[in-house]
Amino acid sequence: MRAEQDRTAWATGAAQRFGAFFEERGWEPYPEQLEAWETQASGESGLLCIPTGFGKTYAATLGLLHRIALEPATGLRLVYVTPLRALARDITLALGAATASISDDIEVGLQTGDTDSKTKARYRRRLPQVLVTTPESLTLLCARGDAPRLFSNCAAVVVDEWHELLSTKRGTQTELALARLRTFNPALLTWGLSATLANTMEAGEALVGSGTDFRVIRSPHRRPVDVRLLLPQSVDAFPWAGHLGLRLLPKLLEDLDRNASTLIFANTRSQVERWHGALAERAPDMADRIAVHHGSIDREERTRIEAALKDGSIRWVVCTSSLDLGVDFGPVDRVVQIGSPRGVARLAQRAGRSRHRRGEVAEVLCVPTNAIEILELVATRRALAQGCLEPRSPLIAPADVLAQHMVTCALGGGFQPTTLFDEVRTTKAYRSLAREDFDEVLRFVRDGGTALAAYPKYKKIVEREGRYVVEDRRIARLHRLSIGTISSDASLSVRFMRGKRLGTIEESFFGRIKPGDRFVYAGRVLELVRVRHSEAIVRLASAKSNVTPRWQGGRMAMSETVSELLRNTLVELGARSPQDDTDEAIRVLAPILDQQASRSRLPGSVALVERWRSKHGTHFFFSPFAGRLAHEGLGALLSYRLSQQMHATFTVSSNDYGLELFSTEDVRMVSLNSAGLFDADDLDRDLLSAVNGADLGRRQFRDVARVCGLVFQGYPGSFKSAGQIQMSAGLIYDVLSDYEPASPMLRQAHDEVLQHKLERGRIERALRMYRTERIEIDVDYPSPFGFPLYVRRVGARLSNESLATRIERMKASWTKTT
Amino acid sequence: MDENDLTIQIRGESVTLMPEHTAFWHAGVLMAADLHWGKAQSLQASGVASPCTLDRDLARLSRAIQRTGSHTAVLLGDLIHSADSMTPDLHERICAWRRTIDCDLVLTSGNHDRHFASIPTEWRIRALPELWSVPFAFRHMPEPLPDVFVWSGHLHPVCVLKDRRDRLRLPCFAVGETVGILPSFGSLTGGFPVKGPYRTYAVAQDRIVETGEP
Repeated sequence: MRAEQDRTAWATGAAQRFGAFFEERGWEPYPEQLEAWETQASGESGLLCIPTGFGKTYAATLGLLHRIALEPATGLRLVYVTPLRALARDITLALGAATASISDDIEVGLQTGDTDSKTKARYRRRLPQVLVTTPESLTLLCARGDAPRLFSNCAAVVVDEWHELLSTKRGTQTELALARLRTFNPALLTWGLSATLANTMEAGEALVGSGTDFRVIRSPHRRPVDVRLLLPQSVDAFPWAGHLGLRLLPKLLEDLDRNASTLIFANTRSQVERWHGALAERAPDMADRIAVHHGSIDREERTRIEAALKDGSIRWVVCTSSLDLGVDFGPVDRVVQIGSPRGVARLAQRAGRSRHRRGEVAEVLCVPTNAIEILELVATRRALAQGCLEPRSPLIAPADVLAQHMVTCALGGGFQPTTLFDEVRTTKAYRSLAREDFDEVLRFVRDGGTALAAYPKYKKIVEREGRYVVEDRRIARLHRLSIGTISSDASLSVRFMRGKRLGTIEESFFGRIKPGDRFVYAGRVLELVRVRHSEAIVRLASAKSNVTPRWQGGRMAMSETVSELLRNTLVELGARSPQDDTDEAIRVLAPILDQQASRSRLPGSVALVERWRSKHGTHFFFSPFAGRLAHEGLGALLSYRLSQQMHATFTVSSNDYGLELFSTEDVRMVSLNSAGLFDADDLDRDLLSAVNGADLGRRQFRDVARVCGLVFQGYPGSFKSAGQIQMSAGLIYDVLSDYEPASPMLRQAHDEVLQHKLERGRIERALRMYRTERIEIDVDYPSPFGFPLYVRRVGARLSNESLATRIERMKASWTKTT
Repeated sequence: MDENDLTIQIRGESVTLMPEHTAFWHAGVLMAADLHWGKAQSLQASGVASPCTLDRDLARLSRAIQRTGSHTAVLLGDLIHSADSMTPDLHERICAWRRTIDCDLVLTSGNHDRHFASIPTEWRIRALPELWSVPFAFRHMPEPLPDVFVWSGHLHPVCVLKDRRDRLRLPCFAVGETVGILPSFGSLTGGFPVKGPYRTYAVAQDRIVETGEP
């Protein structure tokens, strides 16, 4: 019956047109491909949730190519947007092969930031009919003066890896560009490709814009994922503080297959370097068949590693999320996850790298690095079995992206404010944008905000006959150079003395080491020779080193989905004896859980506070399981509120499971019942004062300032007066705070701090728990959950001391060290 | 002088370092370096929406002149930021400010000042390559001169304080054996960490703190 239907479909439309193409390759269209093509034939938009390896590129495009072939027209017809430049070439080839089978006249072109200037010049005159590009290059096309004409015949846009873009500013930028394209051609179809999401409908709405119907096509086969845990004999052998427990390394080596291509995922780049070093040392026979792969390693080197893994000359690759998506290796035999993946979707995606073929089970081996991580992994495994994934929500109305978009529109044919407002409101991101907020951003772009209104020299966009346009050619050029929302901190390129480039490391790392110091990078021990301009010159060092560069942003907080399941797991464990659990992982943990229960209480069902008086002072341990970021913010908030009530300073230490407040004074008598400690009133204000919001805000403002055009970075070649218009974002932040505290860009930075850096929502929920279900227990020694916090007091980077105190403290430590 | 200032002895002379980013030689001479007037204007001309800090900067300079009772203020170079800076509006505001100041103004020209053939006469600022007044000499570039102690600017010195968990970057006065460097005066100017054999005195908001010795 099924086959009968398929044959009927096969005989029509796209399937027929591309029949020979499929037959030559011995392929049969999958049912989801047929469904997609038919939906496209009927002129609908849609979202395809199909795992990689299931022919998703062709599912998303052949029906659209068929339409284009049916309705010949000139100019650009189909745009394929991919967030990954690395994938763009493969997609161009794949689309080229398909179009070549039906016509000689359809040119498939590629335009990204890497495109050579000759091709760019050719595309300036005439674009190919099918264009593969990135969100940034698409926006750049929208900034061309002839943009309305350019897109007038464009029948469809396909956005790949939509789940990756969705909750980022790049996603917002893409939403805005799509809305623009729909204005240029109201008949435009929008198709998206995405991994399975918890909020598919929301993702679809963001893709097609409000008021448009769309079809969701899901792959019927969910690939089962088998999560295996590598468990220690007993947890006593476990490092409590659990920093980078390599203790399971021998067991992992037993388990690894020397002839199987294996991806070993770790969470941070420094963890990658350490595990790579340890593996190479313990398995010397494998040393030249193990490689390191992470985002800051030079692209050429990464491509080489990927190829070597394919041909078998490299077997094990230790990597970060740099290998999470894209780049199809073909089958990788095995996948290993070091430490907790911190999120369900991430684990599923990584597992999906193994045996990348239809219908096969994806397997992943998880190696916990501390005891509580075992519990977290158990929870993640459950979530995966139940199909609970983290939702990814589009950002809500970022002011900086809108400001950038306005200049783009002013360049791309000009805009009339009311029309642009209506257009922008068709996106999910700006659906609820108020006209006054829109006007405020417009004022920022036009006048530079209220503080500048008096200075007529400022003229980024000007009004001509009711439309805003850019007249100054220098401003136009600067804007084109700074389109995009990807943030990158200043980094230095790392290079051998004789010239081979290894990759990049953040500048701040080199501030902490001096020439002659050794560090581990890209799987090698290097010695810094000197730092010159934007390069760090290194040579191979003979001695060993344990110093690995720290990259910012490498540490991800445990996702809320995992938090919840972890709490639920603890609640269930409270009700029965862990020794007899059917799950081996829980049995291994039994001694810890028993100790926790007898010394204190099992957290999870209650909001636990443990109080301990040590010889150093008083410690309070909280276990909200709200993730590291929320805990940092919560710790700062509580210490701030406590210090308002009494004369004592607190140090905060936190991890993904809980936090410790520590004071050298005897504050045992402190009542946590005191008024307002766990209140959610004035939360934003208290939080920002508590964490020294100005400092965090200043840091966050760097991205905002770049996106909204307050600072420029990265001029290709030499731009004559660059030096004179460069000012650090920190300085602009201070000046704006002084002169225009209500600036929409400052508000954007503060919102981002609250939402993303502190996870305000999770703090609020943790506070509610502590208001209503709090249990306080005095302990005579830290409990198993408290101990890692006690040992690993990372020190409060979020400080609410006065400037004078900070200087005095630092002077004191400075005197000690010299 | 008040408690937030810090007075040091150089070649037997008293010099007070002030949180206004100025230094006062007790012979009645005030110093300020790298004022960068009109930086906001040149940013604005390039499409960067920077607020203008000129009025507050001028007020700060007036305050420093008044509270020290200086008869002369030496501006140690980089007075005007760039060719885009000199808008009619900026010119007017400086003229208005100048009328309120009863003090000689001397500019020792710096690299940014090459944009201008001459300073508008209404500003009543005397421009010189350098100014000598033994035991001191005043100039833009921090290079030693024989027999005198040089007060200069140009470098926009900042000092970085840090320990394991905290880090601060503050504008500072850097004072060596033969050369002293003032922090940049203009609000829109950045800074560079000082290297070399200098004592550093940081401007910590409203007071001066000694932060390091060579």
